[in-house]
Amino acid sequence: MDNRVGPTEGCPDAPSDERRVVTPEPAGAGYPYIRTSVIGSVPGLGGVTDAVERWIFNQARLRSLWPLTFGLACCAIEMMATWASRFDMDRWGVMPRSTPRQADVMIVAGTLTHKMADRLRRLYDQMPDPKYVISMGSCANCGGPFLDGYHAVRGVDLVVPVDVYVPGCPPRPEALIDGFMKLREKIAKGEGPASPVR
Amino acid sequence: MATHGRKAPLHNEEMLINMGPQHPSTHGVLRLVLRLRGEMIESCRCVIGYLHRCHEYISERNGWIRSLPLTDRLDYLSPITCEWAMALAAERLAQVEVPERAEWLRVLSAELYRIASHLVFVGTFGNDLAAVTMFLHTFRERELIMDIFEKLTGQRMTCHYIRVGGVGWDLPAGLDREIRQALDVIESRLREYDDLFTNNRILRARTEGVAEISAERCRAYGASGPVARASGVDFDLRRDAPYGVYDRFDYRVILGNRGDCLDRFTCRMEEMRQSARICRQVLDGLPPGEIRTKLPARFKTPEGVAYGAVEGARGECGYFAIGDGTEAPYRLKIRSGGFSNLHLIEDILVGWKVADVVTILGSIDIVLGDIDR
Amino acid sequence: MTVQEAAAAVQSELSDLAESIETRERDVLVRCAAKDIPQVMARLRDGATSCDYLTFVTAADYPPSEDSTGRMDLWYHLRSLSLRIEVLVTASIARDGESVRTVSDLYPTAVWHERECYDLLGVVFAGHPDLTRILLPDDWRGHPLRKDYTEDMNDLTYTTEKRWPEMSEARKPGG
Repeated sequence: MDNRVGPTEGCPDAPSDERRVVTPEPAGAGYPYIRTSVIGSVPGLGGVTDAVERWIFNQARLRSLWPLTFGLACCAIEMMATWASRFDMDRWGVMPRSTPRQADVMIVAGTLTHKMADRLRRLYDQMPDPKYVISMGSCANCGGPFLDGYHAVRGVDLVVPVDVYVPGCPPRPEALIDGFMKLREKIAKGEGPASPVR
Repeated sequence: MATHGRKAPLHNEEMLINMGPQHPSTHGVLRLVLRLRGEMIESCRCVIGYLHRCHEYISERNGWIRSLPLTDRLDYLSPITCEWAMALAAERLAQVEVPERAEWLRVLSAELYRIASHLVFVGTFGNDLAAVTMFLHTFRERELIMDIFEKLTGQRMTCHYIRVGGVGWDLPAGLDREIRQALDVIESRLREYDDLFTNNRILRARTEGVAEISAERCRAYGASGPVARASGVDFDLRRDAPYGVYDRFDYRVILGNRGDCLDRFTCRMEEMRQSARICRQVLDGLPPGEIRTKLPARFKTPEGVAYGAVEGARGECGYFAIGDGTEAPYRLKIRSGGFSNLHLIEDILVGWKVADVVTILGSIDIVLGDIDR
Repeated sequence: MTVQEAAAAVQSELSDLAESIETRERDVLVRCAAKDIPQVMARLRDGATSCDYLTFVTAADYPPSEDSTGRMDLWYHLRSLSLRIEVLVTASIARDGESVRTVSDLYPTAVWHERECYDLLGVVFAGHPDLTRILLPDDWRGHPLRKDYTEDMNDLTYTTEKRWPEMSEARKPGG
């Protein structure tokens, strides 16, 4: 059951197998999902090179990162405070979405428990590619203070690949904003999402 | 369809709807399994435990002092009450005296955080009813209280302010003036909310008379806090099972008369004003002195049982501890208000429409960290 | 009502059922036999004490040691909202094989509290309408607040191949 939909779909020159290659290509080559020449096929824009096209895609992508608000615990309140009046994440085009199908980045905010882990994975799988994950708070990073317990997953990265880790218990809204800035830098450099968990 | 004539019987077979565990209106990771006939809810089953973080297990292993900071993560919207309840259980078990000034500072911090918690309630309740403006308004005021706590404790949310035998830090110079200013702002904004939201026709239409809970049902289901008081259960731990120095202050216990969603909302609005009143009284009469009792380097609790309960923002937050002479409780049971309040949902949702689910759930004001523990 | 008055009221209600009644600083501690629990609770609720509010139900596990065979202590905390008194009721049962009658017909709130007690400590409540796990997943093994619980009772490793085999199929090239 594969519900990934990338921009390659429907393009005749898209290599059908390769779009599931998970290891990123050499530096500067960009992520395989955006390798097709969409702009180049527009009449009059034939001179745009692949590199320029990748750059345009990435610039568009990093300016409207729509997160899936995956509020699990205490960090969710700081995440809400980040959307709210004082910190106002809308300034960077970050608009919280409630459905995974419209989201680009998943913010795992809070403790992931074993009961919730399968649901997290399912929601991650429902997000369209390319998808990024921000792990917010100590619990999501490594289990945090609940590491001693029996029911906390020792890090979200055991379940989904994580791009940016935001430390703190809970992280301040500024820290979450910084996490988004780090993710923007990563996309601007043309790096793909973190490799899936094996 | 050909069979879909004017006289075709109404299509009303049963339907199961799963809401959550990841849903914007469940305030965390709660799952509701609703059985519907048409639009009407026939039965509801809550599935909880998605945020079960083994607080009791960790406390029984790590001991009192090391697990006290974890209580902040229980009811993360009003962490002070959880800290206080755990400290209270330890103090009652080990007979620790708390200095006068520390008791007053505890009241101050708990009431400030009660305001912050109810502000989040008003904001998210508005958000659930599609009045997103309320969310932006209340979070702006909440930041004032977060700033105070940052100056007082260094943390915005998980402050670890209350310690066994006292509080962590004294009020820094000038903070009392700032608290007064913040309370002034919040009180004037509460009047604004009344104009904007409480007297809004849409809010009235969606909450008035919705999910009325009788006082008997509240008692039978163990509901506490604003949920019970909105139904007319005249019980407030601050007044009726006094802890700390609450008997020195002048405030009213707010009661509702119908027990519908609107009553639960207005009760909390009024409680914020009462909390602000208590805060001002604390600032006016704060006695000088020590803020912490000196504890032995290895704090141990003797054999015995003790129950420390505190009126949290969402009901009775209690810690039941069995001591065995070591640094850790032999058994620590956390009684959270939300757990019993949420149980009520399974009963009161029946007969209401799907569209009312978020209203009713929002009016109960749950925090899953508190429920799952 | 003061604690002394409450203790006297409890004494008059439970003179034949309670093994001991202790007046403490804030509450009255009643010890009784596990088989009498429903009767004790019913009398406390309907009698002069009018304890109409069950705060919590919990248990504490005492594993077998050299000088004892181990036991499970049950704790019930009751309040009277009108008289402002607190009563703690406790009883002991064997760790395994013995059950205690549910009080969920007296106090509906006990349904969830007893489920939690079953989930975390493995206490079986006879006559409970729905005694299933409440906090932990249904396929969890062991009761973690028992003192002999160990981490290796549940396999909690996360690999795609094991947990989500359909995903690992989909990720293979051409799959």
